[in-house]
Order: sequence, then C-alpha cells, then structure tokens
Amino acid sequence: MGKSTLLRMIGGLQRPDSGAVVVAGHSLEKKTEKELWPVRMGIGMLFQNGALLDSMTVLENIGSPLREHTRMSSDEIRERVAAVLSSVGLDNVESLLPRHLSGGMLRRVAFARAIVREPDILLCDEPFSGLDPLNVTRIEELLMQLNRDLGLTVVVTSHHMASSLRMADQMILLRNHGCTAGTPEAFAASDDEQVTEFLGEDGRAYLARLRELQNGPTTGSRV
Amino acid sequence: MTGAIRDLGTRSTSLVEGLGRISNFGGALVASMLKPPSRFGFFVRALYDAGVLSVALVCLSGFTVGMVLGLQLYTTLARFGAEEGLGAVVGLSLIRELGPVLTGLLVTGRAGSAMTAEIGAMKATEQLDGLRMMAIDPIHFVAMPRAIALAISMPLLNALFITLSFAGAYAVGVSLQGLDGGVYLSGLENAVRFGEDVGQSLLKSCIFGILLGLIATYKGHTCAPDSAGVARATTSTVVTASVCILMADYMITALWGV
Amino acid sequence: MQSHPARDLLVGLFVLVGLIALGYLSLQVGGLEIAGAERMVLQATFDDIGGLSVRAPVRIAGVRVGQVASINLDEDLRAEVMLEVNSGLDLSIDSSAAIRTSGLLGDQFISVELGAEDAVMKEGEEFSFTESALSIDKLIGQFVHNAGVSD
Repeated sequence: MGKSTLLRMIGGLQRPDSGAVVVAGHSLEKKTEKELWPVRMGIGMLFQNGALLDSMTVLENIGSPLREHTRMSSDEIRERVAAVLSSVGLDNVESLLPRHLSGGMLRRVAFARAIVREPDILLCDEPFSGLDPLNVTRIEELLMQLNRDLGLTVVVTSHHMASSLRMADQMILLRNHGCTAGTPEAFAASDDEQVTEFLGEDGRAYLARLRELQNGPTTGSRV
Repeated sequence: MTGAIRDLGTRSTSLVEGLGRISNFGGALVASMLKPPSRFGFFVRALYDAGVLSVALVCLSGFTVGMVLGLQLYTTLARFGAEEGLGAVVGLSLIRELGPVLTGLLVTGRAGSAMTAEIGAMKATEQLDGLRMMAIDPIHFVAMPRAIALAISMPLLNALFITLSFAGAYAVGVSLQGLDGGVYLSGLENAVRFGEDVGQSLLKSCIFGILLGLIATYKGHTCAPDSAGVARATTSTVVTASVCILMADYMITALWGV
Repeated sequence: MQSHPARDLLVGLFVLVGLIALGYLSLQVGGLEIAGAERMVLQATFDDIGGLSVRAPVRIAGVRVGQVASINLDEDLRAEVMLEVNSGLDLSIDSSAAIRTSGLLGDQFISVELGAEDAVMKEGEEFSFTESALSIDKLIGQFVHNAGVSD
C-alpha cells in the first residue's frame, strides 16, 4: 500500500499530488528532472527486482555511475567495483550478465550498485522479498553494517515485520487510512489493536521473545 | 450525440497532447546528441541491432521485389515492344519510391518494433528509473544511440535494397527473359539522375530513419510499465511509424517535385 | 563495455557494404561526378525541341559525349539548350546539332554532326546550325496531305 510510491517520491521519481517532499533540505516536488540530479547524487536506491541493466555485465552495471559522474579510469573503476562486490560477499562475478545471477546475487549486485558512490541516503524497496532466510540475514547484516560504519541513512520498506523490528530506529506503519509512526519499542508496548494486528504473527512472536530476553532492538535504520 | 462530440474533442486534444509530448521528447533527444554517447560500444551495439540484423531481410526483400518488377514490367513493356525501357522504369520506381518506402516499412517491422520492445521492457523492469536514480539521463543513455543508429542504418539499408532489387530485375529481365544486359544497364543509368533521383531517395530514407528512431524510442520510453503495455507500445510503433513513413513519402515527393 | 569482436566486425562490414551500395547508386547509376571531369558548355537554339529533356545524351557518331544541362526559352521564344560535353573534343565551328530519336518511339537525344572548318568551338559558344526535332504526327500529316493532293 504505497510503500514503493513513497520511496519513489523520496527519490523524485514520482511527484506527490499534494504536500511536500523534503530530502536533505531540498524540496523535490517542483524540481525538474535535471534539478533533481544533484539531489540524487547523494541517494542510492535498491529497487525491488534490482533494476540492473540486463544488456550490461555486472562490472558495467556497478561501474556506470562511476563512469558517468567521476573521472576515475577504467582500472580504478574495476578496483572499486571489486571492492564493493566483496563487501557484499561476491567475488569474480564482474563479467556475468544479470540473467546469469541467482535472485540473492542479483539483489546483492544491485545493492553494490546503490552504494558504489557512497551515498548519504540509501532507499531500499522490499530488500527481503522473495529471498531465502540465509540471504535475508545477509542483507540485513549489510544494511546494519552500512548504517553503523558509514553512517548512512537507510530507508527500508518491508513486509518482513521481524527484520524491520530487529533493524529499525524508527518505523512507520502505512495503513489504508493514514499511518502510525514510532520506534519499535513503542510498537512493542502499544496496545493499539490496529498496530498489533499489523505486526502480525511474526512480529508479535518476535516481540514476545524480545521481552523474554529483556533486550532492546539493536541499532538499525532510521528515517 | 453530445457524448460523441465530446469524445471527438477528447480525442483531438489527446492527439495534440501526444504530438506535444513526442516533440518534447524529440527536443530532448536532439539536445542529448550534443553530448557524445557514454560509450561508443552502445552505439555499435545499436547499429548491430538496427542495421546488421536487418541486412538479410532487406536484401532478400529487395531481390524479390526486383524480380517481381522485372517480370511484370518486362511482360507489359514487351507488348508494346518497349522492353528496352525496363531499366529506366525499374530504376526510377525503385530509387524514388519503392526503395525508401519498402525499406522503411521493413526496418520498422524488424528493428523499430524490437527497439520499442527492448526499451519498454527496460522501463517495465525499472531499469530506466534505476538510471534516473543514478542521475543518468535515460534519453541520453538508452534512446540516443539507438535513434542515431536507426537514422544511419536506414539510408545504408535503402541503398542495399535498391542495389539488390536492380540485381533481381536483371536476373529476371536479362537472364530469364533474354533482354540484353547492356540495354538494361544503360537504360537504368541514363534514366536515373543523381540530384533528383538518388538525392531524393537518400533524403527520404534519412527522414524515415529519423522518424522511426524518434517514434520507436518515444514509444518505448512512454509505454505502460507492464507486459501488456510493452505489447501495445510495440504495435503502436509499427502502426505509427508505417503511417508516418507513408505520409512523409507523399509530402517529400510533392515538395521535391516529381 | 564487453568487447564483441565478431559483432564489431559485422557492424563494420554492414557500414562498408552499405556505403559501397550507396556509392554504386550515386556514381554509376546516378552519374554523379566527384572529380568533376573536364566539361565545356555549348549552346544550341532550336525552333522545336519535341520531347527532349534535361540529361538527354549528346552523341557524336552515336557515341555518348555529354548531356543536356538545361533547357530554357530565350527572348525570341526559341528553345535555348545548354549542352555539357567533354572538353577536349575538337568540334569545328560549323558543326551542327540535331535532335534525333533513338528508334521510332525511343528517347530523344542530340546528335552533333561535324563541320569542315579548322577553327574549333570553345566554352560557351553557340552552334550555328541546328536541326529541330522531327515530329512524327507532323510527318504523318504531311504524308496524308501529299497523298491527298496527288490523287
């Protein structure tokens, strides 16, 4: 319900019918495509299905933003791409085409492309959908690591309540009519029926376990 | 009744709107040509898709059209004892009209539709949005090399088509029907003039190439991001480009003078 | 960019073959002269050019030596035809230009018949003797008329 639309608005890909979108001090809703470019330079976006250019190799895909916006030589780009790839746990995939990659690898390559220029904000659209639990954990760890080590602002949309509660500093529940914002702790403590319903089986189970362990959620993403 | 009139109004405004949008797109496309393509390889690949892959079709069609013309015209001309006119008639009709128009229609079906489908699929899988999020202009990155490749391929394919059709008419008229080869070729060479005929042919095919490049990339960029949308856009490219090519052909012929 | 040697080769070949075809159409079929071979322009005035058209061949003894460059009406309302012929032809100044038809119904061309003078024509000069096109219907009309008279 509007999660992807919300992210696309933050990236300036869509305009709101009414209201304002302010990202890092720039209000986006009236900017032309060209005026949005400087803002987007500071934003990395991970699309749900990767959105990798399917006629280009992994190296070319990840290297494109570097080729377009920096003066790095081909060799420097190659090195940087290899470094980013190994940080997402992939090696020697540079010459493969996206269609040769598995779902989890594809997601991680897209991830590498989103962070290769070290943006300030990372937008992730459903980064966990359609992945096996192993890959979910792996991506979760990557996101947390980026947030912790590089101080990136990470905005994640997800259906995956458990991982959201695990990672988030701030959560917004989008519902049919309006939304509820708060910290995972607040949600855990909430007795609002709609919120508990929204958290679902998964979330409630996680929160219950959390309470048992008497352990607050680790640092995760913040909005 | 009022409904029908209102419908007519809506259709006309949406037609005008569409014209405005494609003009804007064309403007952006031309503006993006000021900057060279990000990689020369893109351009080579686009030229391969638009040009090389159409060569076989264009050559085969050209040869066949030449054979048909040779057969039909030879038998008709022979009734008046004017077989020597074969070269002239074949040459003029192919160079001025049939060559550019048939090549335009063939390339529309072969390369234009594929181009729209490819760009449309890129849009449907958010690849174009991915480029925008990397602050890369999809028009410059995706559409521009492809549109230029079409505009360059078209006159070359047109020349191939015409040359092969001359050979086709030669094969039928000279080899099968027994017209003298020298008479055929000299008739051809005497009738065709560079400025008026070859020039007009080149101008036409260049304009058709530019039109097709614009329409194919525009339809791809503006298609609805799902498989039905890609299918509609592809059909729309073939229909729109074919009609535009035929109308442009008439206009150029009328303006240039017969 | 991944390198595709085979594809690059094909693209190069495509452009090359396309250009050769274009060259053939322009130079051989279209008669475009790149080097601009030495030409001189001569003028001839006719009472009636019949169906003569621009780019019709100019022949001497049946051999093509040039073509009609333009046809205009002069002040005396006669047809002023400019002929482009290979320079280096020594046409004596009393040569004549005649409009002939190849075959009975064929295209019309200009046939140049040489004169006897030693002096030769130079760029821009006019033929002193010309012979207009023979009109077949006129001929037939004459024939019928004559036949009628002799009866």
